[in-house]
Amino acid sequence: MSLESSSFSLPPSPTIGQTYEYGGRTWQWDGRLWKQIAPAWLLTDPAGLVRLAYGSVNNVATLDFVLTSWTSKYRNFSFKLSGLVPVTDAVGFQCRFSTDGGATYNAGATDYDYAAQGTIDTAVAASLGSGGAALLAIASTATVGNGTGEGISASIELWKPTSAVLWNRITYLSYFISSAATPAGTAIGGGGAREAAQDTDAIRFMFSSGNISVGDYALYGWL
Amino acid sequence: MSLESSSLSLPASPTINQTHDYAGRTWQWDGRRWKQVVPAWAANLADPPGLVRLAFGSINNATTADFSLVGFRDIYRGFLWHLTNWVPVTNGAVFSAHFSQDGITYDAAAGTYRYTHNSTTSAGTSTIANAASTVLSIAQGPGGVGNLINQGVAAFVELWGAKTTPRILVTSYSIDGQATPEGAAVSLGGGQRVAAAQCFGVQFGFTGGTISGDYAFYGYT
Repeated sequence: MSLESSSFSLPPSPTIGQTYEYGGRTWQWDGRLWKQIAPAWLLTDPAGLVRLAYGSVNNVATLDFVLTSWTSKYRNFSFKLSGLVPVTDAVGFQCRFSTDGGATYNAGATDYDYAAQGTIDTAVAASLGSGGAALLAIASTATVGNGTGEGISASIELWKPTSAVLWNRITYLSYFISSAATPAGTAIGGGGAREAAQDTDAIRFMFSSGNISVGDYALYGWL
Repeated sequence: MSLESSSLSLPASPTINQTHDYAGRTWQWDGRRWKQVVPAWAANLADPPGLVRLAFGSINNATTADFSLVGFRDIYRGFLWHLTNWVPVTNGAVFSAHFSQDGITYDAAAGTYRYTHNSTTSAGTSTIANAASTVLSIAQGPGGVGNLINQGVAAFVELWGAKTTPRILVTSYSIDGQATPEGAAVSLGGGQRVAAAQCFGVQFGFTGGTISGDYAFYGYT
């Protein structure tokens, strides 16, 4: 965006790089035009939430986020997963952590604990949990449907993954359409942890069996 | 969000892709109407803001609060509403949402929506659900939502997949409308249309009577 100097009451003889406030925006003279630039407040009071990555997946086994270049700058991370549909019907949705930038992911038999509550639109309550598992479950095994319009959407927070004191953990809220003969909407809220204080620098999302057919994602960092 | 050229003092004969600043936003003419676009400074930032405030304000004795996503859908991949102290005029109403397929009218036919959430009160946790409803319930304690000035509901609502599989994720807290009111927290909830359809707008309201309260509306970049 640019402004012709004749269209407003702008400084008559600006120098290159000179800034000017007009219309609630900050403008900078580049020698020919006034161009809009980031306002000063954004530089001194940066946005608290920064988008780091986004995109779509198509028939992939896992959705991996390598955080190595961001863990020193952002204290927490938000993963927004929209309409992830499994290739295989009746599967769980889960994640694993990595300490080597995604080269390998922790999958020991008792590496994770998790606990969650769920409700189903047939007015049934559910829960899932484990004190020692090889994965961190977000939706129970044999639940997520693979039909058109089914799959899972989730909002997941990863809290301070570099903590050398606390077990690294996530909290989440998800909603999916189940694989039942009469598919049901299911909301699950919960959390889980890697049962070790470690410098987690990557996280992997996947279904318990089969690929992720389609879905969108966005990753945000909290300053 | 879009602007009709006749409603404001906008350039009289805009050319396609011409931009114009109004109301603190940047608008672009697409040949038919002015659509909001990401400002140049935001598009060029190395670390773009992840969350942008799109609107905020108060409503006073309105039947509904309607948020058209037309224009926004092409810019933001998700949306967030902070709804603060929404008090119904009618005691015991259910706080709920409707989706729109055109940004103007909102679907409210029988069997349009499915939702499920828990509701925790001093009596424990119960499941509130419906697989074929006229509304997407967001909050309803044992006695609906209370209508006294210090009652009402506060809610945190996210919408994802507006252009694919629109779904809301909800957490809320309300004071219900029983004779002896109590707090009701929804710690997890979600819902969607039963039949697939894109979402061009979200309407919040109570199942009975008008509403008053504050809101802030955000877009995830």
